[in-house]
Amino acid sequence: MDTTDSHHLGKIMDKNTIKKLTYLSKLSIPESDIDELSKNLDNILKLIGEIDAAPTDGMLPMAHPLDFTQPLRDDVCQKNINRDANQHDSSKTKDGYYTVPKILD
Amino acid sequence: MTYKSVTEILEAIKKKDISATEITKDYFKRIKASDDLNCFITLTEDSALNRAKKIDKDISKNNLKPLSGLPIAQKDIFCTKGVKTSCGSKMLDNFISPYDATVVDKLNEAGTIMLGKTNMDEFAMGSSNETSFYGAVKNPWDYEYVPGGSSGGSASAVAARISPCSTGTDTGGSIRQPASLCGICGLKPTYGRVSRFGMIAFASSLDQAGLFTTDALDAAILLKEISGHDPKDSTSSTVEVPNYHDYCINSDKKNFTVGIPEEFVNDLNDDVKNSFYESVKILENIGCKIKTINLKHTGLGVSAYQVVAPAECSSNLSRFDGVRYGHRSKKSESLESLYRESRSEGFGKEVKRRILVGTYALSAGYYDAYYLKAQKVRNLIAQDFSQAFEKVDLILGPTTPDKAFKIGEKMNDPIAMYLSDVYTVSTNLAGLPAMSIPMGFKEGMPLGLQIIGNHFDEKDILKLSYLYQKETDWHEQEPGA
Repeated sequence: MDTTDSHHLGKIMDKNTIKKLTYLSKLSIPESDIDELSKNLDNILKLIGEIDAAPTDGMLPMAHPLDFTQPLRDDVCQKNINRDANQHDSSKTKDGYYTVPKILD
Repeated sequence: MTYKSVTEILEAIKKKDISATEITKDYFKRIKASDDLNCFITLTEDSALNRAKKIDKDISKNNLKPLSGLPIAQKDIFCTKGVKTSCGSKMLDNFISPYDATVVDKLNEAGTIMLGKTNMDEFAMGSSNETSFYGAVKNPWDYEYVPGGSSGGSASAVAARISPCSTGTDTGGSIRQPASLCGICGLKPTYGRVSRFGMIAFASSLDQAGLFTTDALDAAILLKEISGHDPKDSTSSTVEVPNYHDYCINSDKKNFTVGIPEEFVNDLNDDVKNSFYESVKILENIGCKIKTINLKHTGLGVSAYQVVAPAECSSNLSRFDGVRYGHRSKKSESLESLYRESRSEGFGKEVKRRILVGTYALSAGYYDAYYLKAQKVRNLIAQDFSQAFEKVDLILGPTTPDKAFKIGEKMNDPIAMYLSDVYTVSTNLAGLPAMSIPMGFKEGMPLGLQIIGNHFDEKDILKLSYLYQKETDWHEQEPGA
């Protein structure tokens, strides 16, 4: 990802950027859809670029809408969902483990 | 069958004028006759009738719960034990949840009977219900129009009177916008009022569960049952839950100071403006004092939302990798391709688009310019609301800029679609409660009035809605009547 440009808002979403994003997102987009996607993403970036002009000097970022302390429950062991219930789709499991394609030969 | 509202049904069951089994059977008849609306992804008729029989037995022993025998439709975003929970996506088309969401659990505990799981935009990303893997839902007022989204199936079902009430979720307007377009009530509570446990996450700092009903009193009855602290949700609030229904009926409060933000009314078309100001006159006659106010940064709401929501979505949806649950591609040859192919086959276009935007906003070199900046704008918007609530009790505006649009009209224009939520997203950014209630019609299609309250002030939103509905009959209008 290009990090040299300090002012990115409204930047054009070119094919290389889309390829990098699909790699990071673990998605693949058919070549035939790239032009339409690029146009749509450009328009979305233009829309969100409007925040650039907002007067946010000295403003704290807001990650959560409520300013409250998280209530903690008692530190007591609780019954949880059992493994069999979570792994009811046996096509993805073997002996209680999830199966994936071989990683090492 | 004449029973339509939650209040009427509960009263009839209490008086034993009708059994839970009879009312359940009646609703399934209505649902089947309206199959072409495409409101439901899954119907749970057998389990509903079994449950109704059990409830009838309990009632015969005078064991009556607050919502005994009340049929309800659950948005397919809520996990339901042993029942498919798809979230409107191919990704979860095969997912059977091993547990119930807290909302579902609480409603079951209160005595409701689940009719089925309602259709929705994929992973709640959409404003028209057209992004669903299961096809578009239709608006019962005119089948060529969208019901709104993302909770389109839930809204359409209540509007068509094929369910007396339903659940929904609201991340940027997904309860209020479809309520407005379908001519019913849609309540988005304060962030943290209702547990998010078992509600499939889209944008965790914005998502909130809520309700669809035909009137404010019905919403008041149901809100009490689904609200309250849940140890399973670290963001759920411990603020006490009032008896909203009793407050609506018994409180003498009428003289609310109601603020109308200039930013919400300046650009309205004449039809929406006329309906809105007729509603304002009704509120003045009730005894409300109307004040013009400013929420000067809410115009940036959609832009900030379109950074925050996709950023959180890209993170939340990384759990769908084809390994543990959900769609697994048959094409995968390596772990990397298992992830990529499963996600590419399982997600639809809009979901992929939002994941890409979110990934972009969170990536190195872009984080400060987009995500951090959007969070600061979010704070500006929240401060606008805080300052406004120092002067007014409630804030009023239209829910949507216009009536429903036609199916297909905005599908190729994501920006036009996002702007459907221009009056709703800011309340999610600020975590505030808000409700849409019917306020009239434009060319035969419903329009909605949005009432926004301060944090945890759902009771005054409901009270004002109740007072308004005593003076109007928009909420009693039915499609095809």
